[in-house]
Amino acid sequence: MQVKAAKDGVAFKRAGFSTLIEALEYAAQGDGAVNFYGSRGEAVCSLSYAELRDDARALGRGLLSLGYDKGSRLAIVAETEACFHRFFFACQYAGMVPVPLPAGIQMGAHDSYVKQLRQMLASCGAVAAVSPSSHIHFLQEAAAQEPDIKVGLPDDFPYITDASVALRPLAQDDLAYLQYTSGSTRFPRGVEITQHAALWNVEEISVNGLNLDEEDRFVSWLPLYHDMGLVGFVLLPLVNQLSADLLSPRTFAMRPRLWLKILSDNRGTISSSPPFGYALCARRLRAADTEKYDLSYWRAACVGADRIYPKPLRDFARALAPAGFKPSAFVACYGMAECALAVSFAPLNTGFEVDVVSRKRMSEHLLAEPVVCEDGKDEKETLLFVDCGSLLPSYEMCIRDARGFEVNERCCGTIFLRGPSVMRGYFQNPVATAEVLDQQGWLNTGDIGYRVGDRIYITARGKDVIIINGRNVWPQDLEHLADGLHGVRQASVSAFAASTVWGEEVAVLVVESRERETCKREQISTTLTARAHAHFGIHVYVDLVEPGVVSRTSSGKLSRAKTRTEFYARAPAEFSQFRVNGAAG
Amino acid sequence: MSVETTGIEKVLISILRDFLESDHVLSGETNLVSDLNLASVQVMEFVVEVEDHFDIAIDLESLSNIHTLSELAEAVRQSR
Repeated sequence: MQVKAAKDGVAFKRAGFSTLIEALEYAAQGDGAVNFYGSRGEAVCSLSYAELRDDARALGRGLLSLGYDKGSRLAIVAETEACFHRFFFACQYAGMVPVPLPAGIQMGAHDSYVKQLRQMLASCGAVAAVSPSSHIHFLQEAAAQEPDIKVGLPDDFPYITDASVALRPLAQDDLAYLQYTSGSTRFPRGVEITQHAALWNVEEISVNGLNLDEEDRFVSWLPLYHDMGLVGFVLLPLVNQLSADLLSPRTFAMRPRLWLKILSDNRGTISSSPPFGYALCARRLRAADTEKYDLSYWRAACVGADRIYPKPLRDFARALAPAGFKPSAFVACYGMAECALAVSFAPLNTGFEVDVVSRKRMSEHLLAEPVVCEDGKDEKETLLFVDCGSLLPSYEMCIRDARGFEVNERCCGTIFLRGPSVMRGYFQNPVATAEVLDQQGWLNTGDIGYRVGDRIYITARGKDVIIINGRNVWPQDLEHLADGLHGVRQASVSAFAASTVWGEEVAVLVVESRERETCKREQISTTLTARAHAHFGIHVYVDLVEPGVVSRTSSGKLSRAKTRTEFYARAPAEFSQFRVNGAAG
Repeated sequence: MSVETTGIEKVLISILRDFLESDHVLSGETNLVSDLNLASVQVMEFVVEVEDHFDIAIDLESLSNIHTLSELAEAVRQSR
């Protein structure tokens, strides 16, 4: 199979499109393509932008022929296959809103995956849903109680090539897609991103973030139902008429070295990952591998989506130095689905810069007081934060304290953002929208951070969201696991992330219990860890405490932050030695 | 349970040993997802070893319904 690369069939253009269709039709005049790879790294399909345009038009006519209203939602199980691109853009032509659905399934997770799909279908009010054959039975099961939703394989939808049938293209102020990255699995929230917001962000990433040129080539294993996969590796290359090589997240998790092989084979220049992806790669690398790869073309290895710890990145860079990987290629960035994708980028070609601050001043006063880094300085006294660069030009930022006042440089607070790429709201959810977007257009990101000059440092992601191995887990969902468990005080459970002395993030579940018997206490812990594994594929540390230990605010709501601070102060002896099995690598 | 499945289980246990730090008692009833404190990415890694060893591919639907070691052994048998 021939893998296609972009050539200069049309003049390279990275700005000025008003809709995704306009961008696709321009790219279709060139030689750019999206290449899909199979589970053993073999090229399975190459979809040129010209073919994508033709397929999307024909499928768009097909969708129109089914009589769906303008703005109605088509859910797409976002497996990394060409049908995702085809249906995503078919929606653009048919005046429908595409909704990427998760495609990742863990061992034994049949029921929880189906439930997740069902909740998302309901939340977005989909009129139709499409899936490749690999996931179709899950989707059918999820929609079984909803006879009005048309569920099918890609071939089950009409494909009308007759160009005389009119299309109904989405316009600049219409939604481009709904994104379900944000929110808990029980209460999913669809981020509404308009054409204008998406394209604005893509343009700023192209010009200010990555300074793309016509030699660039994208390689990714990121899920297409995440902002980084969808915006970063579907829309960004397409809007720039550049080729992308995609492998599925499942393939990456199983054979992470394929990521490097595809980067090497195609002279990839742009590829991103949350930190755990770099760590996983470094851990599975064999010495003989590095000589086979040439990673010298990789100029922007973006790191985002997570609190960034320098060590795994340094390990990765060291292991791949023989393959020509340059540590200066690391680009720390900050972003979220509520802002399409990106908010800030560190400067290119410099690698990541670390701010070393006093741990004591940070934990007691939320102040990022710089500490002169001397050899032998006790790591327990310092914290490291990575410079996530300066804002993309159209954003305004305000970092506020708990009372809503803007804080000074080097003071931690909640990050608020405003700008043209900020979402319109959460789909059909005015309550959740009002919680994060105010009348003046300020988005409460829930992220905690500080600034130094125009540089941004993130100290904690999400209000409470727990990120383990790149997976977002909502504390409410973890706390829910204790519901109905014998011996546990109802509604007296608090979940949060804590870092061990090894620098690993661990999910902690503080549980109030009156149970005295050792074996029954152990049983509670065992049941909760088993449930966490089964539902979320993560390990939790269970801390059984006396009634009254879990902190509440004056209005009686759980205060996870306070419970977490007290947990650290209490420092259960075995937690300091706690390691997630095998994570040592 | 067939002789074949019992044989496969033994191979699975020997592959699984490499992923475990402590001496878990492993049997056909061992729940791979919840009994072993393995992170999901390690479970994937284990599945890759199994697939490579038997030169098979376990499809997503089968995988999503596997909880125990003996269920995995049965899926391996059917994939051969």
